[in-house]
Amino acid sequence: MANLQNLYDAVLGGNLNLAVSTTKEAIAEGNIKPQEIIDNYMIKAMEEIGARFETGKAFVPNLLMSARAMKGSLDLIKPLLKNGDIKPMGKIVIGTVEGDLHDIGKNLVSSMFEGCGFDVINLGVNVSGEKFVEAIKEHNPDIICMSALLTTTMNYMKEVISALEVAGLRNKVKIMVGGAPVSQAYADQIGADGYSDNANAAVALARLLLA
Amino acid sequence: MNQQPDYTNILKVLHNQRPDYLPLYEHHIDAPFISKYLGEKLELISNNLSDLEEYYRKITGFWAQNGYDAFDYEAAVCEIFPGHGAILGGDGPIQNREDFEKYPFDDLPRLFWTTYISHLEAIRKVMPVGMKAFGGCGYGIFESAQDLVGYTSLCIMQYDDPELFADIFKKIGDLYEELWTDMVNRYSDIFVFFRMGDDLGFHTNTLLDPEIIRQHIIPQYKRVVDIVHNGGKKFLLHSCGCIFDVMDDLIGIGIDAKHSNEKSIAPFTRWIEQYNDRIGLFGGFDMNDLILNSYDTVYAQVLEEGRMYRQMAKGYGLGSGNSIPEYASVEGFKAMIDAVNEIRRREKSNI
Repeated sequence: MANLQNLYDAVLGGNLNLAVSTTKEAIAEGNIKPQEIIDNYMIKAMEEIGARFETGKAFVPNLLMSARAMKGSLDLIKPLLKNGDIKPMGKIVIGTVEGDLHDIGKNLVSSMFEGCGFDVINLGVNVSGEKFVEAIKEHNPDIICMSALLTTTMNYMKEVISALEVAGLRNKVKIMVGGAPVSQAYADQIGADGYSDNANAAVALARLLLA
Repeated sequence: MNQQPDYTNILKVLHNQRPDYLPLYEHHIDAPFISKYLGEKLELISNNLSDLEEYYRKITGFWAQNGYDAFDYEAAVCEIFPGHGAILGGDGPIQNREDFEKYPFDDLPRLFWTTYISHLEAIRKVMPVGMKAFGGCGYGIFESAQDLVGYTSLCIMQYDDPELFADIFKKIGDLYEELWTDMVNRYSDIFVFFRMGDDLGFHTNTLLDPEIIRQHIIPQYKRVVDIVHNGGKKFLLHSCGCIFDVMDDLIGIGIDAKHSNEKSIAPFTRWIEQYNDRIGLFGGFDMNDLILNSYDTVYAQVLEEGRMYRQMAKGYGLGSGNSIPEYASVEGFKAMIDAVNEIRRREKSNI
């Protein structure tokens, strides 16, 4: 019988091979519902690694490895979920705003979202308001996330929000912002729905916004 | 207040002594910012010696006119890497052992000197009287690894191929040893002190586990620090982020001073309280404050806090916590310079 504690440990420890093999074993045995594997072992492990990161006991490489292990297992489980069984975490469109070419932090947040079961459409860097509008129309996300590293480029976030308002899409999505110069005060000032200062907090915030 | 630059004044910070007057320091001032400030287009037209001399005459003249004792020049190592660019994101040219084995490391010193020797020669010719440069070989060990591999891939490689991960840092250390040895031997006359910039952290922690930094990065730093010290020069480390966990290790290998601070990480007073008995400190003012606030606000803050930092620290040089980018406001920069001039004036007048 598959030891699902191994799956929890594998995701927590970032062990992709163990996560995949344990997941395959559990699927083959068929004794537990796929959604329970996700909720009771995988997400719990991601929550634990996230908590360790926030308290300085885990580091970015640990987050990335855990997210990779989680995604490896999730890729096996997702096809097994019947439509009625799926408990969607949410769909997210993410990008670094126009004028800014930095993507390390944004990609880390993206990896964490994916690892925690969100569908993520990563638009890359230097993303204009028009591209965000197009992506919302095409993918119908629940949340858009904007990132900026530079003090000047963060001002473009306000323009993206204006573009969404003009397109009549502002009320269809939640807006999250982040990046080195961004703060909660700035998020409030431009009318974003939330701000987070790290990848783990971003996942927690996204869950809160969609609850 | 224009006074003649005196590089021996800022050098006292590296000796962790109180300079005669409050020195100004910046990690870098972008040439487009200088253009904006001067209202004159400042660009390097070509790499021929006369164009280089004219370019660096204007750059160094700007630093001198604004009260700096020394100016920054870095011959940027990463920019000569074939496949350079992953420092900004994405994957670099080395993703596996085969990529590593075939990467042209042996050719990098030739590329480096071919690219930068004319710049260093031009600077040697046009440095204003009393001024010298600080810097040397630009970028650091960790940043070079990020540029060659990509940060995300490097994080994964740490677990998937720890031998390759270790070999990459050793190889970069070998390269830096060769480049820095030549830099110190050939150009010590134009540098008042040497500096390496290598951002090890972000706003809440280090970018790698501190134990990994101790094991793979700091030993390579030590090779550079030793070369600089053996050449009779002092060493400044510029490293952004929350790196308190490795500061004792960095001081342990002999860095003489440290630069970079952001108020979202810690107030500058924390840097002074924890380290001023052991190393000199540069910076103090969050870049965003200088950029976003009005002239009056910046002037008042720098006047008040600049005097306090100078009083608290032994060796201290004032400036932004990072650098003056193209998008910085001219009025914020002027306010900082004016406030420092006022501090100098008051000290001279015993006010």
